[in-house]
Amino acid sequence: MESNNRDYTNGEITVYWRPKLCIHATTCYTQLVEVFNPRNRPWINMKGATSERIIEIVNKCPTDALAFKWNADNGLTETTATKKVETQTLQPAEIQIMKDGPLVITGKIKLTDNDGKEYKTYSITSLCRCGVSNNMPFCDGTHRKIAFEG
Amino acid sequence: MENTPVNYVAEFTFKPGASLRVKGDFILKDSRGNIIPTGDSIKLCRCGKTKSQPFCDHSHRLL
Ligand code: SF4
Ligand code: FES
Ligand code: FES
Repeated sequence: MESNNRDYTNGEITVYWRPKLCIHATTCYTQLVEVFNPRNRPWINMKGATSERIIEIVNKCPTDALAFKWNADNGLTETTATKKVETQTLQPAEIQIMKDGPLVITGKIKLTDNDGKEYKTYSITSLCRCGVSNNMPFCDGTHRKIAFEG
Repeated sequence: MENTPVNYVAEFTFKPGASLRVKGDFILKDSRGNIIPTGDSIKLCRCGKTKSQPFCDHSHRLL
């Protein structure tokens, strides 16, 4: 399962792809096919657009299937990147309810269960709202199979 | 000097089979993108059965 995960880098940022979490909402490839093209191998072409543009689309992915991180060992860019991350940290977290789907959370958050066990979160974290995900607490797309309404 | 800087703005705590508690600095938006006014601590439904979406109304107990 884990082994299907991939990462792609342009030196500046790394994009993570976790196929298990993809709900095929098509956001990525309808909006930036120069980078996200399911017909190509590898399907993510990090040279297809600027890092900023790639990040914009990664952040629009409604699930955790796509995530990104600024690479650490990158002199100048790192300084700008760090600044960006710091500015982000000051923003309130945003919880967006997706119609008939998950909660999509952006921002720096801490996620734990009631026993205090901590779960990893990304720049975007989608949590299940329909009650039947097989990967709790995260949304795994099952809400569509059960035609969840809410 | 603080040696354990808090690096998150909001805390999310979930109970298996029940709700998600959110505390801290956050904004809640409905599916149309409109802000739902809240206090700084809320309980959101994770079971899919609540009658007052997106909040937990304890319907999960009936499962
Ligand atoms: S990765 Fe995200 S945006 Fe791309 S197809 Fe899957 S769900 Fe859609
Ligand atoms: S909301 Fe997506 S699996 Fe439950
Ligand atoms: S979790 Fe309490 S009503 Fe759904």
